[in-house]
Amino acid sequence: MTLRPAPHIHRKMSSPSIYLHVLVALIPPCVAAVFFYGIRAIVIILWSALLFLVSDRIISVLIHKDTHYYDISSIISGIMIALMLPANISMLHVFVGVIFASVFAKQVYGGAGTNLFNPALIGRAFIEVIYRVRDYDVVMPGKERWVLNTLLSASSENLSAQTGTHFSDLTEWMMGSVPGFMGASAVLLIFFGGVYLMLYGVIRPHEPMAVILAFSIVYIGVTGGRTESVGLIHALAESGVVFVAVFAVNDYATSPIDTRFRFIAALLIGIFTAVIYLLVQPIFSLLLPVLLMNLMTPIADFYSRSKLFAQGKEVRGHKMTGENGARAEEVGQ
Amino acid sequence: MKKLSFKKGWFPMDGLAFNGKLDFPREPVLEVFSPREILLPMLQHVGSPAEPVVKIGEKVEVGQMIGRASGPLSAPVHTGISGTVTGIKSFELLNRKHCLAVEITNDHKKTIHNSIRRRENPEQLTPANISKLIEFSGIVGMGGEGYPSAAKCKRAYQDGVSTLIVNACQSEPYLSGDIHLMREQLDRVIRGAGALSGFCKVKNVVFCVMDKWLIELEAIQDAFKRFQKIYPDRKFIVRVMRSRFPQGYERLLIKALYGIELPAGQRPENTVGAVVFNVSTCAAVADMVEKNMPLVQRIISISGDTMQGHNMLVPIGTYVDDILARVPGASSANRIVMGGAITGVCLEDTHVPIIKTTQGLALVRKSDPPKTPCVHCGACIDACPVGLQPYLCHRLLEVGDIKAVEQLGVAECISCGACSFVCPAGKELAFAIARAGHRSRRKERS
Repeated sequence: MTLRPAPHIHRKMSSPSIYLHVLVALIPPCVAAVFFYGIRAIVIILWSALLFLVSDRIISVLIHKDTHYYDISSIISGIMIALMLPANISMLHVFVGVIFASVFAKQVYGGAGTNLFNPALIGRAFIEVIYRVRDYDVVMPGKERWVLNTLLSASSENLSAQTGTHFSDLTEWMMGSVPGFMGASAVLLIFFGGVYLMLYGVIRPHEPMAVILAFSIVYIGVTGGRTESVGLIHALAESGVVFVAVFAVNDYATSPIDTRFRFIAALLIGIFTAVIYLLVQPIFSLLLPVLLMNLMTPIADFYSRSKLFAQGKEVRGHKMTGENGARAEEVGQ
Repeated sequence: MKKLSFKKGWFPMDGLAFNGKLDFPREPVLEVFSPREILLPMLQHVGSPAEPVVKIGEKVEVGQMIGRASGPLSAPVHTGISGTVTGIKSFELLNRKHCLAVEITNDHKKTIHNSIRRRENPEQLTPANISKLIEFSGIVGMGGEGYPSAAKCKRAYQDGVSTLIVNACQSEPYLSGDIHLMREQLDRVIRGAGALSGFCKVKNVVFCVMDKWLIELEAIQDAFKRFQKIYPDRKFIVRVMRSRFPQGYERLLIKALYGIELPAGQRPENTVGAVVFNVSTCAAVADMVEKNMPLVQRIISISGDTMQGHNMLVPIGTYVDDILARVPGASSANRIVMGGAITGVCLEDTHVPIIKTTQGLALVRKSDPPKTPCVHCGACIDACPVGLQPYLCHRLLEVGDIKAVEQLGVAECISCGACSFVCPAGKELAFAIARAGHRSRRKERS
């Protein structure tokens, strides 16, 4: 018979199950990556995830001697780094980024839950800083495997004519057929992952919606009158803002713990992403706003104080008269 | 009807029975249990312990007084079985207080003490008579508070309250004794509430029920109409609460009804002019007023993930292991919990008696949640009904910064256990924070 303090029952959701849900939600963008880039995408994703897991494990054994559970969050970070990279990345580059993220963004701060920055975004940013991945010859997605193109050919011509880009199909952008990221631009599939997370109560719908709405409003507001502007869906896909909205803005450890601050942060991220996307390369619009939010999170947490019950004030009550008495009469009716 | 509630907390969606079935609070027949022997601790309430008035070897009958009240804040103890007193020994209660306890062996004859008989017209009793009856009956707050009801009534009368709130919000999952009373023995509850309201001289009697029980509100309203003739000067009202945990706490009930937040240590009697009684307490008062039967037995809910839950009527003082011997699936439980599964006390040794404030037993087989570092998710902030930041308090308590924790208002903690329940990292937040809150309140008082 085991003794422990109350409560003796527990909500079904635990941290490992939360991480597992996120892992499941990451499967659709991985599918998109594999669909467009084939075997190379699988190798990069698995390599990145395994590397992050092993690195985290070795360091946690060396430093904390904290070996009682396997940290699924490492696998999540590894997969996220891979999804934000182009498919023709070298495995050495992935190695450098993942090790940097694991050591300097995660374990130095004390492991999962205590990190200041999102390790995946830090790893991606480090690869960008060292190797300037944005100047690579970006691989075009394997469009020939896209069988839906023929299925929806009637409507796709109209849509491509309206948006006026060199991509033939709206559905292709929705599925991530945009060069630059392996999986971070698969808008529709990431959306499915996000819906899955919302259904299981892992994330709130407020923040992703705030990010995407703010991004859309700013983007349309700035480019609305211009004829050469690419469509909104293309912008959403190319900037990776949906990926950020679902997997980074609601990251528990690096976003403000107070829901009000989290919502404000989400709105600001949406606006910043749109501005940076319109000014510079898409990769910066993916990384910079979230890393800025991570930087501000401790400050937001410091100032977030929830409203205390009764606020310690004494209720100088009145039995029958005054405000409280009036309420008592009300209850009596 | 509009559903009232407070902010935050959480909804126990599967909180009716461990197996998720709705039917067990509806079963009309209670299992009545006659134990082989009982142990009656003299301290089953808040205040000073009662003094034993029986000797070893003495024959006792059902309803006979075993312990006499020893002061103004005390309650007598009566026996629920007939038999022989076989021992008077020192006993350590679950809250580590020591008191005397009387052991009685059952002769299974159920001889009833000659003072117990049906009263002819209980509505004609004067407040002074009711006061004496309640004082004699040893009734205490049966929702777990344990405050002697006679003292509470007198305090309420002196404060001149206008409303009597009958608390049927047993918000904790898996407990259903109160709903059995509301559903099957409503007349008894209303008679008890009527007697109490006559004593406290209140005008309004407000019944607070929760929506999760799907109570037939019309049945309650009909009963009110019938009793309106018996108690013409009182108004009976029913209010529906959202089934949010922990709605049953007194301060949260006042918040839901009046919108007023009472700080820790303030009573509703002299602030909003209301006095709160539990449903079981009202039923016990009805027994006393009508049959002169003191508080000798109570309904406990037995539930767990190893068994079908059900309610049982047991004499006070019954050993827990005697009850468990009759419950199928009790041997496979990992933990035996006295009280609800959320706020109850885990039993080390099951050879302890059921006392007046025990609401139920929970048999838990589920293992502990996995322990991980805090993931900073904020679930505890969304759950805390008094607006603490449990993750922060726990972290500060870990590093030993008591002063900062007190500044965060830890004295307001009502030790409901909601934060530990929702924490995905399996941290025992409620234990540490409730202890700090208790210490903080004690420091403020002294």
